[in-house]
Formats: sequence, structure tokens, C-alpha cells
Amino acid sequence: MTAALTCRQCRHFVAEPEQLEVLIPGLNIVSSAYGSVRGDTAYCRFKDIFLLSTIACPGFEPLPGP
Amino acid sequence: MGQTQDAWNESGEPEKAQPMGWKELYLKEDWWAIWFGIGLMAVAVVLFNNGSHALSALAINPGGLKWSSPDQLADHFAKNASLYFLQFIFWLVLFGVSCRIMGIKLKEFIPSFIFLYVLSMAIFSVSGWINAAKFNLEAPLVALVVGLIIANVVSLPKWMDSAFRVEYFVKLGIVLLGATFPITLVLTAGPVAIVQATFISLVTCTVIYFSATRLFGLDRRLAAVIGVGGSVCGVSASMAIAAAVGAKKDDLYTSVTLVVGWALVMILVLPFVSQALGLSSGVAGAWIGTSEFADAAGFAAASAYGKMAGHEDAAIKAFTLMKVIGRDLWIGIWSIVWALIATVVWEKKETGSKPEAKEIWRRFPKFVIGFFVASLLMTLVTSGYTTDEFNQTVKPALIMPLVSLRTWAFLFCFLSIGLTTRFRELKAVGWKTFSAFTIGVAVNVVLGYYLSAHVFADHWSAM
Repeated sequence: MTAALTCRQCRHFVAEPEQLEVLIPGLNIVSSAYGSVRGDTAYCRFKDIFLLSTIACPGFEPLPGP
Repeated sequence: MGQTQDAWNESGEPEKAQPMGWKELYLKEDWWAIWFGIGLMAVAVVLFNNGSHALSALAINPGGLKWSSPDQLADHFAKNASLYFLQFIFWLVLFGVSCRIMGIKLKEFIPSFIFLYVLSMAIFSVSGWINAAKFNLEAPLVALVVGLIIANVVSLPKWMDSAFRVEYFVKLGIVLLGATFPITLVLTAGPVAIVQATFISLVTCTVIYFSATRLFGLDRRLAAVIGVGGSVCGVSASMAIAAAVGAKKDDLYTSVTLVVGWALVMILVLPFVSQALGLSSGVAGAWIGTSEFADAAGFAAASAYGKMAGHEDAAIKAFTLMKVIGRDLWIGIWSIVWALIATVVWEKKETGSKPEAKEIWRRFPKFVIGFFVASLLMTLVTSGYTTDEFNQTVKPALIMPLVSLRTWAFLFCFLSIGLTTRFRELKAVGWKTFSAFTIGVAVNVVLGYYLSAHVFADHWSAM
């Protein structure tokens, strides 16, 4: 059975620390996207909210496959 | 590790939405700080037991020279050029390898780190001048000011941020600090710090949240994000609860501006106010620990005042107890509480994630584990020595090299704060948001002073 699509396969989903630090200028001044406290927090460009990866929503647009 | 590769498995099927799990051990800077901090401590103990002074040589530092003429300084560098080169390679490999594994590009990291190291050496040299203290040329303050000037006048390219890893450096410094921090002190003084810090955090967060929502009519997600930013641990706390309350990008960006702005003000103001008030190093360290939002900024302020007062150790220890043990440890719980509020009290559609107890561990600042382990291990290692033996043998050969390496890590951190602070990049914040946050800051500073300098004054003075 194929696993359900999630935010991780969506091009709106930003989870890479490097990209998050570019997204929020100044985030790295007295904080870091590479720290444990961030946990798995990511950002959705479609909804403009921070969130954890979950089942794909109606705004889902797939990333290119492997 | 790219986003695309991470999203699909080898069969071309989508990967599940699961937490990072064991990968955290090599993808988060907290764990790298633990591996290197504890590793360095273990190497130091082995070398000490074998009578080797190799680590002392590697931990060379021009900050303690007390030079009075440039010739003395030049002579020092000429004599020790090979040691400084070795030390540079040591730091470069240590940070370069770990940053590469975390996904930072080496072609950006290496030239940037060379710049950081050379500048750090120059700042240590300034602070090693015999008259430096007369002019308040303490290394943390000099590093901050020089970094700010360079970042805002010279305008370094953005890619150089690759090596200006403020949080990574301060976490390594804190783990190494654990090696000089008796576990008995953590256990006896920690509870007071937790009580004081928790009380102030709760009051400040509540003040900011209700000022923002009730007084100024701001969005409650923004209020929550800046509330924890001003009361728990700055931007890191804001980021931790951003997913819990479904905060917007601008909410976090606003918190960055407010936290950075006030953190910088307090680095520059609190040491001099503490001096004017004649506070002991322990009291000032505790006060700074409740007033500063971010670890890195707080260490700069506490270290600067400690140097000014001649008791850096007491200021740093009181600060660490208050900030790291009293506030940072509880970030996961704050995240859960706000997730509960967002899902139970607010409308569900506003929230980004449901509360899960596992988040307490996922968001736990793991580097603190390294601090505790280092403290416990070093207490055990040194417990068999008398006070005289400790002062004459253990301290110079085992403890001081670790202190010097810690000082390097902290200076990299303080300099990086300045070098990454580009005022033009910070978001313009409305007067309502600024006022709500500032009311909280005022309450925080006054309450912190009252508890540190009056209610628990004896406790912190004895540090």
C-alpha cells in the first residue's frame, strides 16, 4: 500500500534549516534553525503558517520525484 | 540532504510525515556541542592523567597577556605561531566537519571561519592590553561592537553567515562550562533559579500576551509568539511555539526584531547599570539571567560584567543557573501549553499542530544534557583531590585549558552576534507590537532586579 502524501512531498513546504534562515532574516542572530528547540517545525508557503508535516492539504503541489 | 531527496523513498513512494528521530544526533547542533564538549573533556582528563600538557598548548589565548607594548604582542605571536596555526586547524576541522554534515557548504564556511578566527585573535589581543580594563575594553563588548560595525558599515556578503554560528558556539561553550561547574552547585542552587525564573517567565509572558491582545488588540498568535520570545528564551522559544499556534511568517519575523533589538540594548546597558548599582557578580549574573532573552546575548552581558567586577566565574555561573537551568529547560512544556491553548481554547482552524507530550523531548534543548554530564563527570574526576592539590595541580593542568577553549567558543559567539546583525534586514515593527513587548521587558527587568538583588540576594551573592 502506498503511503499517503504529506507536506514533505509538497513544494510549498520549507523544512531545511538553511532555507528557514533565509526565509526569516535575522533568525540566526541569537537563534538557529539547526537547534533542537526547533524540533521539526517547518513553514508552509501556501498557508503562510509554521507547522509540523502532516497529511497533504488541498493546496498540495508535488515536488519532483526521485 | 535536499528537500526533494528527503521526500521520497528509494521505491519512489512518499516518505511518511515522521519526526527526525535518531538523525537528530548528527543533524542538530545541540548534539554536536555535546559530542565535542564531552569529547574535549575526556581528552583533557586522559592527557592530565598521563602528565601531558598538549591541551594547554592547544588552548593558547592572547587575552591574558597583559602586554604594554606592541613589541611584546608581536613577540608572543612570533614565538607561538605554530601553536596558533594548530589551534586554527583544530577549530576549523571541528566546526567545519560538523557544519558540513548538518548541510552547510564548506566553500562558504572555510573562508568565513578564517575571517572569524583572525578577527577573534585581534579582539583577544586588544583585551590582553594592560590598560584594557580601564577603558572597558572587555572582549565580549569589543567583539559585539566590532561585529556590529563591520556588519552594518562594510556589509559582508550574506554567505559568510555560514561560519557565524552564534547558537552552535554558545552551546559548545555551555557544555565546556559544565566541566568547571560542580554538580553540587547545580543541585543546591538550581532549585532557587528554577523558582525565580519560572515566576518571572510566567509573569512576563502573561503581561506581554494580555498587553498585546487586550490593550492593543493584536492577533493572539502574534501575542503568543512575542510573549514567549520575551519571557522564555527569545527567538528560539518563538520558533518552538510557532508551529504549536500556527503562527505566520511575519509573527516570527517580528519576534526576531524585538528580541534582537532589546537583547543588544541589554548587552550594552546591563553591565554598566550593574556596575553603577554596585551589584556583586553573582547578583548581576542572576539579574542578567532573568532579563536577557537569548543565551548568547546573556552570556556576553554576564561575561562582560564579570570581567568588569573581577569575578567573571561568579557572574557566568549565576547567569547559567538562571537562564539555562531556570528557563531554557522548560521550553518543551511551554510549547505544549500553547498548543493546548490553541487547540482547546482558540478555534481549531487557527492551529498548525495538535499538542503531543513527545514534543517536550523533541524540543528539549539537548545541549543542556551535555552541561549536566560534563559537570557530573568532572566533579567525580576531581573529587579525590584536596583543595591545595586542586589549586596547584588540577586547576592549571586540567581545568584552565578547558576554560580557555570555552573562552574561544564564547568569543566566536559574541563576534558572530555582531557580524550577523544587519539592522537593515530587520522587520519594521508597529508601535503597538513594540509597546506590548516593551511593557513586558520593563516588568521583566524590574522584577528580575527585585528578586535577584533583594529577595534572593544572599543566595546569589554567595555564588
